[in-house]
Amino acid sequence: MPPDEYAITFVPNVRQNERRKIVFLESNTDADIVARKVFDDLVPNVKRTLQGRFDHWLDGLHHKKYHHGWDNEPNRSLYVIKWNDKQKCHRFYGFICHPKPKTNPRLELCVLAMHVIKTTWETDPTDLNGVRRLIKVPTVIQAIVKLFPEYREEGKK
Amino acid sequence: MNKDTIHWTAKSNEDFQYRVAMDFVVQLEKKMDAEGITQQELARRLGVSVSRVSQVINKPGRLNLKSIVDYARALGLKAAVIAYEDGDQLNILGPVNSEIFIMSWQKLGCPKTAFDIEDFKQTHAENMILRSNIFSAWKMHEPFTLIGVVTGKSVLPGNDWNEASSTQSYIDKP
Repeated sequence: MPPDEYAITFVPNVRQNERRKIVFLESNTDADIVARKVFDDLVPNVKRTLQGRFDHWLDGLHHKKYHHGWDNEPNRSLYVIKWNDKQKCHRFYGFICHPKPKTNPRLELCVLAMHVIKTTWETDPTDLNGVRRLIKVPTVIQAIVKLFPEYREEGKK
Repeated sequence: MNKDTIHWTAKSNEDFQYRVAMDFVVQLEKKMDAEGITQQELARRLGVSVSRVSQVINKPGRLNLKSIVDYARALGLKAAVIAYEDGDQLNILGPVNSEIFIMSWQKLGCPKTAFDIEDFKQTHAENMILRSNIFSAWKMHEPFTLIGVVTGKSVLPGNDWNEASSTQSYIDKP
């Protein structure tokens, strides 16, 4: 992990493609950014389940019980990947961006950041606000730019 | 080759099996969602406990062929086992999701026999010529006349395939 505040790394061993890619946001300093660590520590069957969820999204398929965004969100940018383990509802929260606006504007990048164990039916707005904040953090943007030099914050020219 | 780019199902046949089972479970869940069938109801139809159904849906790794058929039939579905070549013998890229096979099959008009595929191809080719003629007439600003409308199962491809109108127009130049 570099000394920068944030870095992104590709989710390993899934079918990254030219329409969709999926990465973990990592941080040495931000305690909320734990998706990568949670993923690495999963037991084999749960990890397989989650890898299946990633594949499902990467293949362009839809199933709201596995993953979804929010229609009323600007640019539909927030995203969640869902799974259950030991009767608990786990969530990876992150955001979708378009990291190659010039050369491949159709490419979507899913940046997974936070892990939450959900206890209520409604999503806790605090969790979503945490992701909304991340989208605009300059060092997060820089982390994406390191892998995708064309990237700029969504909506900015 | 970078080990991170090799698909996780290449690690073992157990991993591959888990993924195939997961793809199957998605189809069950979608059917259950579409028809409002609960896990309790599915358990009742199968004559098993709700916890067994929950286990299969959340951890499908131990599904066998008998269970696959039992679960599919309990929901009014059918099941097929397909072995295919996709030019990736080492499974570097992972399996093709079974939903892709279903979508492709539906795009072909859900054929049940090889003859259905032949018929589809022929009708599709005729429609492509028809569409081409319409486009040419429109592009050349040539007058054309609507000479008839028929109804039937649409075979016009497009993004709105499932919702496609069952009405097709036939035109001819005067």
